[in-house]
Amino acid sequence: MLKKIFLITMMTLLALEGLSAITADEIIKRLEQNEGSMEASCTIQITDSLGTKTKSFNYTKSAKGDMMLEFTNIEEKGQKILRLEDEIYLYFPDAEEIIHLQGESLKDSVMGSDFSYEDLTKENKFENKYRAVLEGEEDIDGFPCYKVVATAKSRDVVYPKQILWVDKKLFAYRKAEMFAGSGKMLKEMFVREIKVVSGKSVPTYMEMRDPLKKNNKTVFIIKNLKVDMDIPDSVFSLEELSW
Amino acid sequence: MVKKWLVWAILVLLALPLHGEILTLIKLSDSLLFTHELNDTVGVMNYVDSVLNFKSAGNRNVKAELELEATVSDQLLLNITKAYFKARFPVFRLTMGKTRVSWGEGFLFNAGDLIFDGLSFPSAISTGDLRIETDYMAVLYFPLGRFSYFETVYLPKPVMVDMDPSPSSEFYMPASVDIGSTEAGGRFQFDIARTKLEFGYLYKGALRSHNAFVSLQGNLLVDWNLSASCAINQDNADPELIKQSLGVSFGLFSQFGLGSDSSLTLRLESAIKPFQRWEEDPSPPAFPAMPSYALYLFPDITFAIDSSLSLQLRSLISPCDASAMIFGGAGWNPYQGLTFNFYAGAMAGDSNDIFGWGREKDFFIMLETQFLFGTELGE
Repeated sequence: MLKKIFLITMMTLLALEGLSAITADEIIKRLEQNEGSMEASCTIQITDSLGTKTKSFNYTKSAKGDMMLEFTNIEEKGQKILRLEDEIYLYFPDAEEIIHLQGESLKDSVMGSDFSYEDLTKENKFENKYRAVLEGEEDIDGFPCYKVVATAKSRDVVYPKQILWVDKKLFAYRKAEMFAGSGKMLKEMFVREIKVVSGKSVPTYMEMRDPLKKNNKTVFIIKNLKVDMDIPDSVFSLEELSW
Repeated sequence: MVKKWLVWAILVLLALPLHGEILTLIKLSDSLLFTHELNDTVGVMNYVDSVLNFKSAGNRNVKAELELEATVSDQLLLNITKAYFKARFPVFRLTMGKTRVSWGEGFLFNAGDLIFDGLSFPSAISTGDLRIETDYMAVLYFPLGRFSYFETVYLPKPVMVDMDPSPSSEFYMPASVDIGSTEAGGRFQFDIARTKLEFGYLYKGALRSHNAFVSLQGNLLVDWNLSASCAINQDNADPELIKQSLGVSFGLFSQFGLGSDSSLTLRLESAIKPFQRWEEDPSPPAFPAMPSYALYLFPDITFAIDSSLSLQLRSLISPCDASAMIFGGAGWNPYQGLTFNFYAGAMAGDSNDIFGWGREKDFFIMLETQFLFGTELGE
């Protein structure tokens, strides 16, 4: 009888452990479930030793990851960026010109900020591009997080290695560290605010730092957020870009 | 003339609040230019360039823009660089007024740009925007899917005539021109296998010529573009003239991230007129006139050190007479809207070359301060 109780207890404990255990791939999958179509007004504040410069833009993203950016700050007013899977179209209203870029240009920064075009759309293909391993759990700003180490499967990425701290409850980033192939840390990102809109957790205040430049940081703020909308493909077209 | 411009500007400014949502942008730049003159002296020039730009906002289907540019030195030069509206309908888009359309591909050399002659030299290659010429036009744009469209353009080529007989004042009005001297055409753009293909036609009434172009743009390790154009005279379809008109432009472009916030941009463009002169002309006209050489090159390197500081080296090279115009510069953007530019340029060639040392202004240094500010009214 005792043996039977022991066996049942052991089986129950094992089953419970199986239920609570989560793999890195599942965390990434839950993270990506927070992705989807989105419309927002965004601000990038670039700070260096002389002060802060602000860029603002309207951001529209489709469920499959196509993205349209329209700058609204005075210096770049009317400039637009259409980002598709592996190509970029830039529109310059002064010259009424559309420039089509592919390849390395995707890794370039958005208007001199610490964010690249890849940063703005990377999550959609994260699973295909990185091999993730769960390294444990840590608190970030008092929030319990999973610590996931992601190593690139190929060279075709901006950051060969990333360490992500994913909120255990909201399945959104709380912190990320991005590394070069040499192991040197390139960027460090802190998420200061996460909003839950229509059941999706979206980081709305992010701070990116270059660890080598103490006085420099880029703050990315998302406002007027709408998610899970039906955005027609025509929004991501040359006609809309040049309008 | 100054009084007239001021009255007009004030009237425009007064009218703004009536229409609600208007974006205003003002760009002021002060340039100090030192030049090496023919008699071995140094010339100094100082001028202020101001751009006043008004854009409508708030209407998703109608847009309008008015841009006035004034250069103030010992006299005022005023130019209306843009004055147009555009309206979007379910199947087409209409643009009317003074504006720009960009045909073909290429940053400096673009054989596909039949409207603004993309194989000519711009008056200066030291500044950022090299091709921003505008003209009066009516444009119909028909989207044919996400990445293809058809566009027709009509350029009336208006002539402005001084209607005031008094020599002390000027009053310009558009005068009617012969419809035969106007320009009309169209272009079609689509994608095939991730390569952009564009072709078009433009009839130039003043020259009585039929002009056509084809342009391709794609990526093979680096971004590339290739355009070609030719012209057939309506009255003289001599094959030799057609050959002489053949122009080709080819460009390569790539951008590399260096470290976390530096980038290097490399560009090489060429203008080729294969049936023009490949050997040196003993007495070519000076820049910016373009002698009929078969080949010109435009290498351009920009190194953005960070979001505030960049270095640039660019050149116009004429391999046929082994001469070049070389520019080096730096731009610094310390505060929002404020940019300091420093440029130095020199000719490198014999005195009778197109970019010859010993010609007027064969060396210059320019210091430019630019401040951009604006406001959004009615929002």
